[in-house]
Amino acid sequence: MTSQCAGCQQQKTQILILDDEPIVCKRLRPAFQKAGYEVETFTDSASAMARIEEKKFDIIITDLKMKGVDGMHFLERIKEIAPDTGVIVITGFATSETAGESFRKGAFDFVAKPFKLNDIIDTVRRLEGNRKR
Amino acid sequence: MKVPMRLPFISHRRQKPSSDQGLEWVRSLFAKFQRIQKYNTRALEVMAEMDRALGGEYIFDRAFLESSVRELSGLAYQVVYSLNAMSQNGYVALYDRYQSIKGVLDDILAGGLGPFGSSLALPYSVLGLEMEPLAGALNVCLAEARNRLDIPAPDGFAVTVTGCSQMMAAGGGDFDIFAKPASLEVADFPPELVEAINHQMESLFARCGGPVPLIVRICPAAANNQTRTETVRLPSQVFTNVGSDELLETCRMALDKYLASSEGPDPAPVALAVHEAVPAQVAGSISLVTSPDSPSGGLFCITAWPVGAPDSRETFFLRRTYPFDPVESEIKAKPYNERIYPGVHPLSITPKGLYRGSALLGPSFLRGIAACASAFERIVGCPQDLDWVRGDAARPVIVNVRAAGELDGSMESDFDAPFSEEEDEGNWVEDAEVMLAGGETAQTGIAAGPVVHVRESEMDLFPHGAVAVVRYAYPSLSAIMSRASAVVTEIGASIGHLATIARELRIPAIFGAAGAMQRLPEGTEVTVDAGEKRVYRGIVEPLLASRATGTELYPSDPEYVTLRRLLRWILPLELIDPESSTFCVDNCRTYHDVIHFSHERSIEELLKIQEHGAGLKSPYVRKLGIDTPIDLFVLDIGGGVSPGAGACVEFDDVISKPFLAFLNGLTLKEVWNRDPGSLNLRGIISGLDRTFSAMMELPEYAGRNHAILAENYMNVGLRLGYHYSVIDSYLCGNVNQNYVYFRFAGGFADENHRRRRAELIRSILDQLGFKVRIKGDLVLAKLKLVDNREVISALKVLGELTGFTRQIDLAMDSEDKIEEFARLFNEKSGRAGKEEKNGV
Repeated sequence: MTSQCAGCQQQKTQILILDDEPIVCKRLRPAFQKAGYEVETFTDSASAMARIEEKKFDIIITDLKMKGVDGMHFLERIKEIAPDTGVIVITGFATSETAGESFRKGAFDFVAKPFKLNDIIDTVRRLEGNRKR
Repeated sequence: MKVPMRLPFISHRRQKPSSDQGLEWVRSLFAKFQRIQKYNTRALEVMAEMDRALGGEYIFDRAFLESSVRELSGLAYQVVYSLNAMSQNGYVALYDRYQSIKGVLDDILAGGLGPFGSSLALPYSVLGLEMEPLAGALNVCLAEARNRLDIPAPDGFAVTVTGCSQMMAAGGGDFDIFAKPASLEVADFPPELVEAINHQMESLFARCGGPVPLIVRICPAAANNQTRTETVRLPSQVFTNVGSDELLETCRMALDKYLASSEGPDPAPVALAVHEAVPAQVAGSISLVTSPDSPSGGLFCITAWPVGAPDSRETFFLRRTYPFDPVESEIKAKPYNERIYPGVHPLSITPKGLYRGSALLGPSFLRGIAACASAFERIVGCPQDLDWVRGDAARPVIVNVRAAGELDGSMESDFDAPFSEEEDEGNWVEDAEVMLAGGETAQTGIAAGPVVHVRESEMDLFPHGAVAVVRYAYPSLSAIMSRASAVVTEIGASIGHLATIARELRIPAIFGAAGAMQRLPEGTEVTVDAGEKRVYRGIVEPLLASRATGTELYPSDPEYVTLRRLLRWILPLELIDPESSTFCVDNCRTYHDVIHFSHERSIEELLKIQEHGAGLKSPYVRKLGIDTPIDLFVLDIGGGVSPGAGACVEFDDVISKPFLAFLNGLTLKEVWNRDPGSLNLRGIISGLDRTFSAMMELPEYAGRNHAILAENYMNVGLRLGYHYSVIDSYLCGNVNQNYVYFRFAGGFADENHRRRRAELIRSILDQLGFKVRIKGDLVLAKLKLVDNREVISALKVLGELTGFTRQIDLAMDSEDKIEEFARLFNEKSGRAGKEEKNGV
């Protein structure tokens, strides 16, 4: 689902970001907005889970290890509700096992923290490119 | 809890290995050395990653900080362990330093205030921005001004939040939760607080050259791990002209007034600022005001008045970017013929009704105030209101700093606030011309100003607020960093010294941007967006205004504060000179100190390999079959010699890269061919004591020259007659680990002859970039932080020098000979066109 921005014809890609570390949401949100995306951020997984039940997002960026719902479970639920939603997993506890499991469950990419702002924006653009094909 | 360190050979303290221990002992020693190098490299990588995270380009969280510190502590432990294993537990005390630093880092991660947390009063010299929860915002700002920003500010000290809370506790409040006592009027000062305040006051007076009037202010502090947003704004509480005998009572009154004015049962944490009063004729303030004419975020508004006459206020409006051009002013007439300070005749109305005189402040002084406000905004991460005074000096003295708030995007705690459509990046920059793109971000941020090409010889002239453009990110540029609004270099990486300074000062910086000098001509006004690695032509106002949109990592973010506090105990390297008496275990205050100290001392341990002949009696020692006037014996400890080599190692059998380079110089026949030096009776007599000492060497090794070799290492000990030299080198491709160490001493001639030879060697090694030190006839030379090519070149010259300086002391009979022989060496070394073995 995309939304049309005021005063322009282009439709904005909808992104949901879930990370229980407020600093991550605080910095990613304006960065993606500057890059032309429509963004919603959540620091608690229950609220994010509720939100994806009521709204379809084009792209979801989620942490893996959080209080409450496990990121892997969140990824599974997204794919059940909206299989064509692109998911990018971000984590500070990257292992080849968690990366492999994320890909098996349908994640588009797996990004280890810390990461550069430009790198995550590039990943989202690649995902958009894939979705358009 | 302190965990006991498992020490390698605790039951065999300082035992030296016997020569019978042989090859395995040397191999083991070298393996430990290599382990230290490996851990050092990884530790430097982790430190660089943490340092880069401070620059704002990376998204990180608390887990990153915890895992980085955990890894770093593990590496530092391994380094300390390995050094003790190399030195037979010669550095046990280093383990205590490691434990102490680890304890500090763990405390910071756990939310503690760090090692200064229990301090009741602290001088400005030790304060930094990251200590705001302990010392209060004003104190750390004045300290930053003095310590790093090159901005005049009064000297002073902080009565810390801990100190103030003790006072509150004495008045009946709860020490831990800062609960509000009824009043402090009857409270007795805790004796340790009295002692701490008096001690800091005496120290301040000593720095000022005697007692000076003091100023005391209430200083709000953010609760630990809170953001500045949560800092309570307090009414200004200032006590002036406080004498030394009134200070304690004034501190009590200040806190009492604060308690009276605070609402609720739990007053917010506060500290006290105590600083010297600054004599002044004019005082004023600077703040930001919104203006439709300045989309980059308003104008600076400077007010000024003669001290004691606030009604005669003058107001000036300046642009917010360098060169801070005046836009508008409001100047009121003062009483006729009033003199405020020399050279200024304030605007007044003459008896004939004519206006005469000028403004209280000239454009240059006004710009100076604006530059201070700009610097504080950059380092704090949001606009600050400043109070300043003008005394006799040409620059304003900043006496008070407080958050402005109104125009501050970073102060916005609700990051779900809507983002303006007009702020879309495309709209900001679609019309702006990109003059330069590329490089690496050392520190994110956006800044504007005219380009100044920096020349090392003219750094004093670099103006406040200009954009520094330079070819190399050389360390001496740090002298201008506090004045630059942004830095762009053609060559340099985001992990160097200058990048660290840029991050400490939060100066937008792009390093390694090819063509910067040509594409950014001097004098051109530009806007630098370091995060995007772009430089735009002109002042791009909307881009400057976007600084408040919150994509950056701000000093108000708890993760920034924690990272900065951690780095203070990780990154600084105070132990620089291994020859200094201060280069000792007790002075290792950071992990960087610990690993650097261990690196240097591990090299020294390697240098001692031949000192005790360990391994040199081994049957694995083989003669080197090369054509030079010296016999060399080789001990291969791993990959230094071809496995197919026989009992006599030939030139082509040598694999060791540093040794090959050395041999290429040593085998240069031209430098060996020299007339024998003449020897007079005095020389013979003066050489007798050295003959005796030479005879006292271990008989098996006296006169034998050994080379201990690995693929990337060599330790060559040469005994040429009465000379003794050691060349120790590690060549691994990492500039941080490559080194050449050279030690040369002895000779048969008298003291003056040998001193001249030492000077000759110094003059040659200086040209190669060695750091050379001479003690009598002892030459100590080190070459570090160099690439492989430089190491190879240096080792070749050392090989040539070995031949050339043989008994040359006998010929050094006048000071002129130093230059003469240096020229001769260059001629002989330079004219040789010897083919060098491939692969070196």
